[in-house]
Amino acid sequence: MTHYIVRRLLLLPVVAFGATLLIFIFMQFLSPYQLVSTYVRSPEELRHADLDTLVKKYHLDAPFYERYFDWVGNILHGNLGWSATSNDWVAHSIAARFPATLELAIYAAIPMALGGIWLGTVAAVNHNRFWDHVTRIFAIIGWSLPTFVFGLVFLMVFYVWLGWFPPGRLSTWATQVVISPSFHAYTGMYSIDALLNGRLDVFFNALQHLVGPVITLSYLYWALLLRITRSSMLESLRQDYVRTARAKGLEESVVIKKHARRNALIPVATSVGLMFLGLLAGVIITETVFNYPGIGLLTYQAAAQLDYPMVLGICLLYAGLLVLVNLVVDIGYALIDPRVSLD
Amino acid sequence: MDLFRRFLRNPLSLTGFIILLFFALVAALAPLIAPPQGPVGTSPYLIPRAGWGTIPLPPGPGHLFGTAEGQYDIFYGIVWGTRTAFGVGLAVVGASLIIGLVVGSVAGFFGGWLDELMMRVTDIFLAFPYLVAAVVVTTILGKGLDKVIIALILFGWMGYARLIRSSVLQVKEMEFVEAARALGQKTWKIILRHVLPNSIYPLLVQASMDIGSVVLTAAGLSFLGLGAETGFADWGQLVSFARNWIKGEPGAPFQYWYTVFWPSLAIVLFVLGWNLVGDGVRDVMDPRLRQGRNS
Repeated sequence: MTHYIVRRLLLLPVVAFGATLLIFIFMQFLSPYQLVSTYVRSPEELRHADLDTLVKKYHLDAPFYERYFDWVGNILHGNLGWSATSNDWVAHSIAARFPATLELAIYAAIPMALGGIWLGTVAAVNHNRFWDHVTRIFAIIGWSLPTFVFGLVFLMVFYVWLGWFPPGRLSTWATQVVISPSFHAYTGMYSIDALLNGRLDVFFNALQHLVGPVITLSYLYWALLLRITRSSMLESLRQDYVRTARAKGLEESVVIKKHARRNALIPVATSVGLMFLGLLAGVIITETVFNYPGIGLLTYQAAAQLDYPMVLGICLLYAGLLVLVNLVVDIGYALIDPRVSLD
Repeated sequence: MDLFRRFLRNPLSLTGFIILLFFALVAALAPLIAPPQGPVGTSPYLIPRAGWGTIPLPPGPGHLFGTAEGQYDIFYGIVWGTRTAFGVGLAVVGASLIIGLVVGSVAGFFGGWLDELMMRVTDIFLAFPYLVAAVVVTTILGKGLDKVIIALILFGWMGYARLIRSSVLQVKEMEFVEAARALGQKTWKIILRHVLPNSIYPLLVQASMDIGSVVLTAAGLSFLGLGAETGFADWGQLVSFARNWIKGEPGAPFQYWYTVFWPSLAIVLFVLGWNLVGDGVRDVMDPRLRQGRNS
């Protein structure tokens, strides 16, 4: 097991090197001017200096490997370039937007995990009966429905028609409360900050704006998790220890919850970790539909305006997140399942 | 044939099969269903416009499904968009499958440092979420469906490579492979004749299940404005035209329903068809599910 974890950790620099190299290779497809825009340290530089000076200044005429290591050095110093669309440092605007996305993903993840596992259990226990078929059809429809269609229809019904759940992140009055100096931004996640500041009205306003994006972002993962839990439960219900538990006269609910489900949850736990990542990456479309100002909307705006430094910065962020979450999931898997002794 | 009959006996697979058959007919007969109206020489994939105004027109004569923002004819866009959807789905999954097949079988069969190298490269490509990678690549390469296809292939082969590698690892230890090796057959012939035919089924099942999600991702990119060029017959783009029209005039909340409804219906049915078929293919092909009846 220690061997497995050590090996997993040793792979980390390999993947980090490869992933940055891949991004750097993509950057070579940009025109010289576009490429320079990912290096400059302030907007004035682009406006006043000419291309040749900038190419010289940032050593863009150096050999490939030198430029690569320069670039990685830049990243490690937190310099991801200047973003024209947000009129700010790339690293800074990513950091400013990230709490909004994290808030959205957390609110989406908790009902997803609980609901998906619950529905999956129901389906497995009622194998090939009514509720199994209902959840199966729900799951198939779930992953056939594009998030942007779901989001648009949600807005048509619950915003335009009923007026319950508006797009955006906060109403205007609540935004003014949040940016006022008396409001402390502890986490950047408005619903939590509002509670910490004792502003229940802002808290409910934030929740009201979260309902639509949260449902849109997570219904696909409900469907996926439901199916994974279901097949894992079916496997586990066939095991001898479940038969033993039944034979010794335990109540059915105890057999299912304590004996079958605990073991079935081991593969499910890893999926939940990976799905949290899926939620974080899925925000591009959801945030665009709901005009929710997080990393996803930032990605959309940057891509639409061909803001290369920003797009590349976000790509680095996601690669880092993915590698990190995968590592945590793998090690967690080895820790909770003693049968894993991979080498 | 027996497999096919068992596949059709499942009502869900049958539904999926009929849906896809319908779309295939629409794609094949597109020039008859929605004849191109532009002058000779213009691409039939460019949606004709009823005028230059922005406001969508309701369904009526000449515009069966109404027009979208910019007065693009929705019916025409959906009919010709069927070809786009099939093209993107099949091209991306087909090419990813071939790349994955080559990488996975070479890595699995030869093992050693080559395997290690190829699997680390696979890990590197897996270090990017699919949609994020697709957004980055299309931003860099520029707008257009061909760029979307390249982006989706570039980051779509890794699952197949891993799948084929693991089944090659299982198959290559079997006696008939050893026998072929003992008879002095060339390595590539052993892979092609003995190893691949025995390990390809899980791959085909996965591929049939993936087409739906590829079409969804491509539509998502078009929705974000990174896919097809403006005016090109593409369902995702038609939905993106509808974005500004979810709000009708006061008192008529669903005034422009047709701009959202028709293209969405096309996408949902198409993807549903592939998912039902994929699900059915898995049930028929997987002998474990057949005996255990836990489909």
